Parts: sequence; C-alpha cells; structure tokens
Amino acid sequence: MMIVMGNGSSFLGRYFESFYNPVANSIGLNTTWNFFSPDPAHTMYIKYDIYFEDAYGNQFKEPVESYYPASRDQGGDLRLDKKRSAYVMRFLIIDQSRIPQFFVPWMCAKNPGASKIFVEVILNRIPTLDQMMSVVNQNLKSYDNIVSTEEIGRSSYECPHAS
Amino acid sequence: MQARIKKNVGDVRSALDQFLFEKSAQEQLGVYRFILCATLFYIACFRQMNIDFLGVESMIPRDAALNIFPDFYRPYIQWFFWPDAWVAYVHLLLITLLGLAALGLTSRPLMLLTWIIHQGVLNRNYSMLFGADTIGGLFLFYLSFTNCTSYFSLKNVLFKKNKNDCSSKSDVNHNISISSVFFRLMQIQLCIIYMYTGFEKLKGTTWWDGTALWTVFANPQFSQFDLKFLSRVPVFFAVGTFLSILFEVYFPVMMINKNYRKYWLIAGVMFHLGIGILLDLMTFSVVMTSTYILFLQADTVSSTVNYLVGRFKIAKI
Repeated sequence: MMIVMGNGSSFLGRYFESFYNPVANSIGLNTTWNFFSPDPAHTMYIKYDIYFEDAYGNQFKEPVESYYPASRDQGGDLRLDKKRSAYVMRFLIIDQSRIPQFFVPWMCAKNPGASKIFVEVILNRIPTLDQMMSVVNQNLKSYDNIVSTEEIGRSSYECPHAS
Repeated sequence: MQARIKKNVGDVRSALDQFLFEKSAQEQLGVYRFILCATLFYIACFRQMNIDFLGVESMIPRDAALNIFPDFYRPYIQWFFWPDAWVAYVHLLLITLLGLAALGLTSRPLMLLTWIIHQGVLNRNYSMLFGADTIGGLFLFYLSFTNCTSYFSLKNVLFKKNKNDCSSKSDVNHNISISSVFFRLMQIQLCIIYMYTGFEKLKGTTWWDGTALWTVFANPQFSQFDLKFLSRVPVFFAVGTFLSILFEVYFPVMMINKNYRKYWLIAGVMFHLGIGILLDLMTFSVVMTSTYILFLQADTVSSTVNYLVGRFKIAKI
C-alpha cells in the first residue's frame, strides 16, 4: 500500500483505490512526496486593499493596504509561528478559486466594517541561472533588474456581510 | 528437485519471518521515540501561537475542513472530534502528550490517542501544514504500535516492573512481532518517501537542467541567507542539484546494501543539515534524519547514547 500510495494518482493507485484509500487517506499515507518539486516555486505573495464603504458607497474609513503573508517578497519570515502564513498563501494561489471562498470572508471578518477587498496575486519570477550569469560579472545589484514581476490574478470582491 | 524447491521456499519464508517479526530494535525505537516526539512537541509549542488557524476564527471553516482536500486524498475519518472552541485546550493536551511520549511516559493506547489528536489538528487545516507535520504524523502512527518505551524511557525508572510477572511469554512474543512489523514498516516508509521525492524531482525541468537549487536559494521566501553571490560559482548549483536527486533516488538501494548504508546515512545527515541551516527547515531535517536511527545497529545506538549521557547513567533508563 505504501508503495502504491506514494504515487496514488497513478493507474495502480486508482485501481486499488477502493481497497487502499479508506485507510491510506485516514492515516495520512496517501500523500505525494514532493518537496520543491516538480520545480521549486518562485516568490509569490498576495497584495490586498480593504475598503470601508457604507451602503451609499461613501468611504467612512481609510482603506487598508497590506500583504499576505505580511513579510511578502522582501524575505520570508521564516520563524516557525510566522511561516505557516506562507504555506496558506501558496495553498490559496495554487487554486485561486480559494481566494473568494476562504481568504476574502476571513479577511472581511477580521476587519469589521469592510465592504470590499481588492486582491492581487503577485509572482516575482526568479531569473534563471543563465540570466544570472550574464549579470554576475557586472554587479549583483543588477539582480533586481532581471527579476520580473507578474500579476497572475487580480479581482475585487464584496464582503459577504456588506451587502 | 521437489525437496530442494521445498527447502528453498522454507528458507525464504523463515528469512522473511525473521526479517518482519523478530526484530526487537528496542534501543533504536527508544531513541527514535525521544527525538521524534521531542521535535513534534517543539513544533506543537509554536503551533499553539497559531491556534487561530485551527479554531472558530480559522480561514478554513470547520465544515469545509475535509472538503478542501482533493477527492482522491480526502480522509474518510474526521479525526478532529472536538468543537472548534476547545481547540486551544485540546492542542495543549497534545503538547502534553507529546512531551510525555518524548520522556517515555506513554503506552500504545496513549500514543494512539496522541496520534489521533495530531492527525485531527492536521486535518482541521490542511492548508498550513509543514512537511514535518505530515511525515512526523505518519511516523508517530507507526511508532504507536511499537515497543518504543522499553528503552530510554522515564517510565522504567518511575514504575520499575518485574519483567517476569507482567505478561505471559506468548503475549511478549506477540508484542515483539507487532513492534517488529511496524519497525520494518518505518524503514520501508522512509525509503519510499526518498524514492518518490527523487522521482518527483525528475519530472521538473529545473531539476533535470541542474538549476533547481539556484531557484530555491535565490527565493527569499525559502532561503534564510542571501546566497545570490554563489552564482559566481554556478557549478555549485548544478552539482548540488544532481547530488540531491542521486541521494534521494538511490536511498532505498543503499539502505539494502550494508556496505554503503553508513556512507549514505552520513550523506543524508549532511544533506539535511544543509537544508536545515540554509532554508531554516531544521524541524523537517530532524524529523527526517532521526529516522536514520532505525537503520543503525542496536550496539551503535547504545554506545552513542552511553557516550553522550554516560556520567548521568541515563542509558540505563
């Protein structure tokens, strides 16, 4: 079972699904063992703006602009209790339908009076080693010039309790 | 001819029986229990600071906790049996149980309860899991079926028992057999984890290309230090990338081969030490390397423990 479930979505995994999955899924054995694979992730973060407007669209409080996780691309906050936010952020970005499903209602609940949230998903693509080689003999500060920033998602969401 | 085949089948069967059911490994299991449970205890102490991820205010509502798993991976049992409002207390209980287990003040039923709460916590919010949570949980499950408190345990000091009157000989043999099977399962599990981790990397273009380590070390969300200066020595990343894959893919083969085993384990310690320091994944590294104890000889483990804590005579615990 542990051999098959290491690649559970394969034909063998699907074939033995009815035998193995009840046990394997319950004890945490049906897991893909992939660390930094198939390819290591690039730097990612969520930028959000929270708006506070009344029923007539009048802003009654200054918007809040922030990042999730708060440390964003300036360097991960790797402390054990802070690190979990980075894992949650990846969970949200991998399937962006999770942002309105989980992130927005949660953020609205944490900010009483919030009416709308504008969310951007940002990816800082790390240059390839070959690209890095081309600037390495100049100045390592040139690194920032070859990091490309891409917006891979951008949406505005109403807070569930606002309407 | 028939007799020869019968003999060979008998030999294989007895070798298999011996391999699966007769390995006592109390020393290895005792030390492994201490390190694994102490590491999970440490992680859980930090997780107590993130308790809002697991309670009423969690981003993942309770009724969605299992639904966020892809269908194929969804647990069949909802292990988080407690109401969300109680999570802080249940988690404190988990910390206590892990602490007691590290000291050896536990039993098989208590270890299983520890694992159930641990698994419940993991299932409650799957989005925030570390690799160390998942792998540690799986090994905690296996460990709860072993005789892991027979050695290096405070229980032996506090509740000195007469080995002759505790249970019948058949019960003892039965216990050893179950413990032996789960000991072997842990060894096999570790090999499989490494093997698949290596295979998964081979699917990635950057691992195949030899530049994956660069992407990891240049990412400030992974790397603890600014290692971009190492791009002046690009071969470091290429060699490191290929060595990582070689180490992982060939781990099971090298564990079977007794001659190469120790070299591969030393390489593994170096590999995980590097990951632990450079990527600040020390808890993951300890969870992984602690399982190497299961591949060591009992006398090696005993003599190392004796050496480390000799003058306090803790090895006799």
